[in-house]
Amino acid sequence: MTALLHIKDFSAAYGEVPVVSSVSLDLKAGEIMALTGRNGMGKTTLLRGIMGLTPVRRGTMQFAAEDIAAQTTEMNSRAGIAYVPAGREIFGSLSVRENLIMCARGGEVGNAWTFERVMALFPRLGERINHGGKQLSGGEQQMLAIGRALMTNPRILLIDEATEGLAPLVAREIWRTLSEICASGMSAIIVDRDLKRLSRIVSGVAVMFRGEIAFAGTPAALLSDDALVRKYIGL
Amino acid sequence: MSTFFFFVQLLNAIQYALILYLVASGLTLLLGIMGVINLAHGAFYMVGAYIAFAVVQQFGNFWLTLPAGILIGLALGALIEKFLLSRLEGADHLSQVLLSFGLILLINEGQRLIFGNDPHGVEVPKILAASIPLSNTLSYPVYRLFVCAVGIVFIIAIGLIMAKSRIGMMLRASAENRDMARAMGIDVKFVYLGVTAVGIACTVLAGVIAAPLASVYPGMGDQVLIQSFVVIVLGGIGSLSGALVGSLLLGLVDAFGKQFFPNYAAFLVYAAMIAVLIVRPQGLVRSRGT
Amino acid sequence: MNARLEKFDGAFLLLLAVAAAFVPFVLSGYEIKLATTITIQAGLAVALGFVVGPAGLTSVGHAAFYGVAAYILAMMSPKSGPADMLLTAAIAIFGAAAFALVVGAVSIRSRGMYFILMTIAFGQLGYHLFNDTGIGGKSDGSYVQFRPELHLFWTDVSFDKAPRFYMLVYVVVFLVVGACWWLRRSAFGSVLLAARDNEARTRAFGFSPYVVRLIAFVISGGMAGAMGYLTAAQHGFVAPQMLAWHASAFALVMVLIGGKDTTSGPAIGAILLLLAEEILQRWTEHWLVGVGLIIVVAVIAAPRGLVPFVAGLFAPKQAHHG
Ligand SMILES: Nc1ncnc2c1ncn2[C@@H]1O[C@H](COP(=O)(O)OP(=O)(O)OP(=O)(O)O)[C@@H](O)[C@H]1O
Ligand SMILES: [Mg+2]
Repeated sequence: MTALLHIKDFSAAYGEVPVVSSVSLDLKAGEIMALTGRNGMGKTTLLRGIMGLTPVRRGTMQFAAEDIAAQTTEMNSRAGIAYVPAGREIFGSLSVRENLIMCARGGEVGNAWTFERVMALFPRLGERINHGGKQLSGGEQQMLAIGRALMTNPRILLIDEATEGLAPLVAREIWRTLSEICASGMSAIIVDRDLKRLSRIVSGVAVMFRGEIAFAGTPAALLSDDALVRKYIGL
Repeated sequence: MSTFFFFVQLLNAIQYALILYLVASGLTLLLGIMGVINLAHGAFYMVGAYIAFAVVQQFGNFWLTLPAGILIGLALGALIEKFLLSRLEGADHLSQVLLSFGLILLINEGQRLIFGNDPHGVEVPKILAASIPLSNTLSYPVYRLFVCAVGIVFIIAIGLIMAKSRIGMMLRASAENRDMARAMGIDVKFVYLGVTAVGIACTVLAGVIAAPLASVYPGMGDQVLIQSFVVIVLGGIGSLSGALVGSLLLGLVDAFGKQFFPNYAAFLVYAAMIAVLIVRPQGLVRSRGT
Repeated sequence: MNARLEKFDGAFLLLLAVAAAFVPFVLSGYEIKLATTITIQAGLAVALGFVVGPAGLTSVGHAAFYGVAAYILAMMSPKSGPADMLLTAAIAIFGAAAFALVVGAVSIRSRGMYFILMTIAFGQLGYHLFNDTGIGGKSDGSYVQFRPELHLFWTDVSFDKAPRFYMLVYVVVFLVVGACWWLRRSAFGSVLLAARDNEARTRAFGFSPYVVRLIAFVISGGMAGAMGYLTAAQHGFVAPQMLAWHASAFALVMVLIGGKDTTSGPAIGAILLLLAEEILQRWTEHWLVGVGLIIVVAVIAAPRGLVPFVAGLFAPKQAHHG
């Protein structure tokens, strides 16, 4: 079976400074992958590269067997890639409802993400449906960012820093919903520090080190090797 | 000052404010959503007035001028975005100022080439040519009420579109965070094309309906340009409701200023803008699209 | 500014200075007058370029300082004979600088498009001051009946002859251009650049970006005033349009065409634009169409200006820094 997302030799740079070099990665439909690594190793740049927000310097990038390396961000979005950025970046001047329905696109019959389904997933958002985006707490903003991404009915979710800066209770709520989303057959690449939680929902993990993928394998293989964890992740 | 006279001035103020709002809303959308400072806006207003003149002269029918103005405005705006503004992406305000200055020269000279320097009049359509008597000496022309009606319809329409429609939401989202809007699938280039086309069409339409009010003459947009900038500085860049408040304020200053200090009316307008910027150097609160 | 651009900038200036020195010897009559006008406008453009480039202030109100100084000369000129040049020039330049101080003090607090709108508003205020009120002859403008004379201890120097007036203009403009060239390279110029590119760092070094920009703005406003004075002396006539924002925009076009990041650029922009105008005017009554096209093409095709563009042609292939 061909991969949903196929990346080969991808490189990206800011000006002259190379930030991601020769990254290769394959993700099957329905597969959830964790992406982790220390600060500044290029995780965000890789996700932005897939989304088309950072230009591809070299390499190939295919999504659903289509070449997307040269596509614009909006084309990628319509092709089925959704992005939940590290800063959440919800639209503060739009209400919660508007953030959600603004870019709603239909999905697969029977399994589509609708406004009602997102509300059921995040009851907290329902209570604040008419509030402005900038009035939300950090956790609510993250829920809205995820909900907003789901409303485009993507085939893959790119989630950067899923629980960064959230209180433990809120983080747990996010993890719960993430596993629910993943169980629905969604593909995803999730960046987070919390390897323990991540390992419960992902089937594979990739560790980035200085712009390259230093380890790719199962979470169990990574966690059982203390030397690897210490070198690439810290703690 | 008699009550009737005051009432007439007030109506004139509102009517002028509504025309100003048509111009200023296009300008504020361009500024708020695209960050483009377009000094050629006054020239497009003049284009509208000359379209009205030419159409009435050719076809003798005022009602044709409205669709003609809107269509030509949309086309002009789309061409300007497609071939000029889109190439300025990432450039500073200096380039925008000068590009629009170049357009002003082209439009002004084009107007002179086609229509010459003489002022022209545009006849008020027959059914709107009447006046409503207010007192023995004062009456109010129906056409001015028609202008008010067009303005009010426009306010409601654009308000509803911005506040309620998905297009309005997308516009606000694009203004706030361009990259994220694109990541949600919004074609920001297309949004810009639409905003420029509609923004310029509004201004051309304002010129069309203003044409029968006074004469059509070269440079008639200069004052409107500066005043609509004052309006959006007063109302906050990107804010349509702010622009409405600003337009009403300026309409009052203009109508009553001209009555009481005919020599200093222009001063008052600039002084208002300077005063606002002295108090709030970065303009009044920037609230997008609402 | 990189070293190559700086070399080109200096070379262009030198070339211009030498070429301009020959004008009174090779040209005559109308051509000298045209050269005088162009030289004055070049001075205005260079002065404006100094605030647009290093100070990062897109002033669309410089014509107001230019025009105010012109009006000061007109109002100080007696009907019966020539005015005292040193006195009137000092007051005109000082007046322009003082006006620039007021405008700058208020406007520089605003940034970006607000600064632009603020300078437009002040310029228009100046325009209406002379156009709508009784000061300075309303929209008809006002005359300078006699060209001012320079009173030296031993003699009075008259500038009625075009070549001599050109020499005066040449000296004043090259003083202004030289001052801008020197200021850009001085410690003050570095602080200005730092304030433009990294405001926080300037503050950390103990400079107030506001004050530094204001100083640059006032200096430039005074220089613009000197050019306005010369224009009024040349034509013997002033009009409110000299202050309006269209005039400021024309000066900005010169700055942009030549390149705001150089000293020679605005001067070259002025020469090219005014020569183009001159040629177009001989050719058609609707010459402004041509000027409009030139502006649009320049903005789209070479937004950094001609001098950086030419310098870039000589750049080694791989090193291409923005
Ligand atoms: N806009 C930018 N311009 C220049 N360099 C950048 C930019 N954004 C990121 N970088 C650099 O690129 C490298 C990779 O950054 P990136 O954000 O992709 O890493 P990350 O793994 O997501 O880090 P973090 O854990 O901090 O989010 C870093 O060294 C960073 O300093
Ligand atoms: Mg990151």
